[in-house]
Amino acid sequence: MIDITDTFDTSDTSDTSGTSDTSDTSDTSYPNPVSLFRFLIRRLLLTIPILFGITLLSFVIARAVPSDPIVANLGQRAMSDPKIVAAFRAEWGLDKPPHEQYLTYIGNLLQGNLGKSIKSRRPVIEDLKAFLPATIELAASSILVGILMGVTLGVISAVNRNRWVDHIARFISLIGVSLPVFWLALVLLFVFYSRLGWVAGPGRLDPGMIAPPRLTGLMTIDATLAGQWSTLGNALSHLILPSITLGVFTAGLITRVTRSAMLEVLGNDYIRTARAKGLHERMVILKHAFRNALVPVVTVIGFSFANLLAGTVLTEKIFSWPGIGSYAFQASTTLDFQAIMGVSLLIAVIFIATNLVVDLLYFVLDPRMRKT
Amino acid sequence: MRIQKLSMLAVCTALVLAACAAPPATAPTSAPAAPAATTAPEAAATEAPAEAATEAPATDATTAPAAGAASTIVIAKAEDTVSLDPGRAFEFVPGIVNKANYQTLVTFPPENASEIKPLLAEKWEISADSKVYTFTLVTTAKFSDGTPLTAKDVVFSWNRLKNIKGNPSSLSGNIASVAAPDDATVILTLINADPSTLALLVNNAFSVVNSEAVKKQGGTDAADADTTDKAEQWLNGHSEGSGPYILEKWEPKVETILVRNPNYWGTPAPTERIVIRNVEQVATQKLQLEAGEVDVAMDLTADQVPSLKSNPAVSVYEATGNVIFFAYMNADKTIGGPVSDPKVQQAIRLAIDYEGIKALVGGKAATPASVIPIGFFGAYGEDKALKRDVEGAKKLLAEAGFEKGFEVDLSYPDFDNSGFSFSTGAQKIQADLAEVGITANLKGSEVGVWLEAYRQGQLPFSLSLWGPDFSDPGNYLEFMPEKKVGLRANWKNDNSSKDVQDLRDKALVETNPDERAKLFGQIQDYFQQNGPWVPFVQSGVQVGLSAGLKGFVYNSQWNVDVALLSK
Amino acid sequence: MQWPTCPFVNNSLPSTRTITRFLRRNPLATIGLIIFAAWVVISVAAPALTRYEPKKQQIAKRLQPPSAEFLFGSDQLGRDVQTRVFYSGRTSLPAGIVVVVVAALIGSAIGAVAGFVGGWLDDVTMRVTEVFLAFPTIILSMTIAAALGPNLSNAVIAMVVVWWPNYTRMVRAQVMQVKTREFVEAARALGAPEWRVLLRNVIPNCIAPVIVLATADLGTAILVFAGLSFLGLGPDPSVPEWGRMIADGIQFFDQWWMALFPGLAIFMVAMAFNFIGDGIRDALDPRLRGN
Repeated sequence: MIDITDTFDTSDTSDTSGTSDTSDTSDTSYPNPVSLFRFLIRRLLLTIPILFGITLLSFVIARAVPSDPIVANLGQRAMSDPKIVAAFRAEWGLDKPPHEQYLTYIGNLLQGNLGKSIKSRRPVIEDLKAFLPATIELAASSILVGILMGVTLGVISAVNRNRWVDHIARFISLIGVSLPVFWLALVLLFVFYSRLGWVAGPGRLDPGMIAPPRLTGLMTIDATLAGQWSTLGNALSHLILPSITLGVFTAGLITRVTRSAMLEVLGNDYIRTARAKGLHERMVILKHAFRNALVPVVTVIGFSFANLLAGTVLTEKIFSWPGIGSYAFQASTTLDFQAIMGVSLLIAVIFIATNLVVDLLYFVLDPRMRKT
Repeated sequence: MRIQKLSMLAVCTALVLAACAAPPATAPTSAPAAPAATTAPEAAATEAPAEAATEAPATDATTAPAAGAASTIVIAKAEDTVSLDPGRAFEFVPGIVNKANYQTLVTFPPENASEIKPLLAEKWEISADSKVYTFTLVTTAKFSDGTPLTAKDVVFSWNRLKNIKGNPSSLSGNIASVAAPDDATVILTLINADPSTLALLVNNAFSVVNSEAVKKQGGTDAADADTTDKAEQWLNGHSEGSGPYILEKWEPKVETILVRNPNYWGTPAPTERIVIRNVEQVATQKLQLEAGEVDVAMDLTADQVPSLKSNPAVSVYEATGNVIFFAYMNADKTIGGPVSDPKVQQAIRLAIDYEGIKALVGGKAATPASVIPIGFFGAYGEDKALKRDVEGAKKLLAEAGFEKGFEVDLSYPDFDNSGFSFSTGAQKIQADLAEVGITANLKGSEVGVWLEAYRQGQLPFSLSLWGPDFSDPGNYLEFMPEKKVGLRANWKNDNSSKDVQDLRDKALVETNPDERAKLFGQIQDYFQQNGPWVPFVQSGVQVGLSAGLKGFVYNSQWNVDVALLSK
Repeated sequence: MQWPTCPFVNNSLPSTRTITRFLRRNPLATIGLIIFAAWVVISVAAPALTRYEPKKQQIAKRLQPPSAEFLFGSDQLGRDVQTRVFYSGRTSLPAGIVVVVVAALIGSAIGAVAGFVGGWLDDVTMRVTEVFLAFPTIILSMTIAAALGPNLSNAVIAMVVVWWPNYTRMVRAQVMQVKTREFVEAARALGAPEWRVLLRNVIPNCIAPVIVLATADLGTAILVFAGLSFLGLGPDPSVPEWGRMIADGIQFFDQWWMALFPGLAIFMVAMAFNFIGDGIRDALDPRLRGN
């Protein structure tokens, strides 16, 4: 939910890696493939303390609260039976001192065991496997909406700088980042599902629809693999409103970054040269300018994707979307700390992995990097 | 003879065993808004099915049960399932699911809890001291895998319930032992005599599971079953019961799908598949019902009903529920401060705008005369409910020395139950109290957080709810000094009157119906003038049904028996 | 690829003349300022602009559609939605501003010290910051708000806890750059104590970017605050607050006015801040200059 472009404009990406640099404003030199590889390895190693920090932080918050997970998860009647309460405490290790609980958790974690959710009574890893695909599907289609709208608006806006087209494009992108998602979701549902009936409503499929056999967990792909075309159509229809809801916000960010990246590139000498050579303007913009502006655009897309995974809480709640956003909300409010830690770790891992992928993409996209 | 007498008793006490008391968002607790025993059956009979029958083509009505080979009925309900293991499940949706997948020895009629009916047990005898129950099982019953159901399955199921120490295990707390002298006989021995035992056995927790199949999946009924039983995960994906349906799949937070049990030993259910969809927003449930995407919308609020009534494709089932919403004031002066003063307590009872709250909740909501729901044995009707008296309240406050009022924190769990929104209700009460000069600061919190403070009796002034464990006024003796709910308000022997303690002690042991009625009358009279309780509304139940749907009957125990549904 | 640490050519605060020129060149920012000013007026003058008390309930007139009596309709307790939307600015605007200001102060202070002192202190600070940045913000703030117990100040605290690291990182980088400048070296050479150098010479040269980031953050802060409140983690429900009003409106889909108007209000305020922030960013971005 934090406006990530601010993070962008004011800090360098390598900062997360822990390389303390003095960050001056000029371009630094780029590593060659071997040093890039080493750089990535080092960054991977440096993520380990971050992941531990995340488990510690969530553990501290979840355990320092004035509420007992026992009462949140046992009924009133069961709660007044000391035998049941004792069995519950023993089952979840709540009868041990906190530091022991944390060490046990870390011990299990190192063996790939995220523990069991108090609320769902199932292994957290199972819950995450069950809920993550729905969120990935939603985040992926939202990012698609965001890219289509954002890049188009950004390029148009930059090419027509300070003309009315630019103002309108900027206006639209600013509207995108100003809409409260939970409200936009309601308005879209009200108009396009309830009143007009053009698209499907909440959920991933119509209630009577039979879901395809679960292979990937992504409804559209599973339906395609199973050849259930009507299910595929229904799943796509269900994706439209939530993707637009989330995509509009992302589009706002992408427009902003695309525009400024394009403006920067368009001011460069080689663009002037290309123009001077008499190349067609469209050619100049698409082939030369946009290509070179892609690096920051890819960055914002990567960040948006990672952010979307965590930012779907409100949207999933309104669209009854069975994803990790809903799961995280339930975990947070019932203080189910194993689940909170599990879902936070997962999102942090995806966040860090996305950063790495973005770094790798720089290498592919930026011709200057390949030359060195 | 004995059986008949018992069912008579059951009629009197109208034993409805419903989950438990208090907040359901996290736990099963509050009983489903169940029809109050007197009004509900009529409502069920006259409203929904009648309307459905007139709407549906005549041919449909005759062919429905036999046909419907690939028929599907979709039910929308907010999913609260934690477990589908009958020994661990304690929520509303599992109540519906396990009613369809499993069976108990005895049951209630479809529409209420007026009598105990045989199911897996064809007859039973009760010893003279009421501590030993001997059940004779039907011999034709078999599980969904075709194996016959015998007494050893009952013993295994009940011992497992007791020993795995899951949430519903407390229901089995009075069981001393269960034995199976032969395949068709089950002997249940109790620790203390309890007239509500048969009603208790109707609860899904006492479902009979296929012991061989469950053992194969790591299940055990041994004394250490709380650590050694591993069958829960299996039972969350597969049912091992003898009911008309089997569990096809449960996808948490998405849907639960039931299909007809091909090996069912009774009359097959009319509908092939039942889909229970998790739809958390009530607004969505209504939209999906209107769009024809679902056949039943379980959680509607009264405010949604008027616009549905004009829709010919939809009908609405309405009844008065059995959940009582109340405010309570801490009797301990160090915690309650001004609200521990009996005069202030009575002033608050007079300050509440009961009519306004009833209008707010809407539908068939009622104002109860005390904590005992209207419709229960011995309960006063709405005619005896307290009326608002602002001047009287102000006078009492002045007598207590609070002419200028005072400030107090009003706590509440921030969730909705049975169509009642605690936050809306708290704001209404805040406004009512402001009119007599009391400034209530709203302190809403997440249910679990609230429950912790509630349990420890730390809240000075709070809203709460109570759904009955069973439909007998005896359940409401928990509100007496030193009893479970009484202690939440720190209402104890040393700060309550001798009168109310005497009433409590007599009511706990009295078995004569006339004497009981008299005693509960005195308790209700007492509660209208004294004590820490301000019961302010008994909410309604609204279920939306598609016009073509037949067979819907609301039952407070299991909400709906899906094996009766067809379209 | 490195992003510039600070997008500003010079770090001093702009003069009044620069501001007027900026506004003339940025019609959107001007519109933003006007909308923001309008909401400040609406919030302050709410009693004069509305006909009811924000908590005044009329059960007999609940859920009424917009009419001459209730311009924006009435809610589930028969309260006037317009009144509550107008009064809500008194809660949401200060909440958003307080979050950003406090987070900016705390974050900047930590960042300035870390960047200036360097060494292990800097390392530790940065590791902690990274943990907070990698932690999914919405989950962190939901957990904190739920754990502390929902009310206005806890929502603000939860937001500050997740908000400060951005400022820490920015100010740290800024300080590291400024501290190598000649005038800082000169101050040191003159024998000024370290803390004095930090306070007198370094920090004043890092303030402008903080202010710009804070301005751009205000819109987001308003949205996040409304989101927490929407989830039931904000002020108590009798206090008029946009997010909570929308949450109530969800239950009443047929009464569209209950959610529509508070949503429009959040949207307008967030948009106003984003217009202003975008204008400033655009005007000061060195990459976009001289074109």
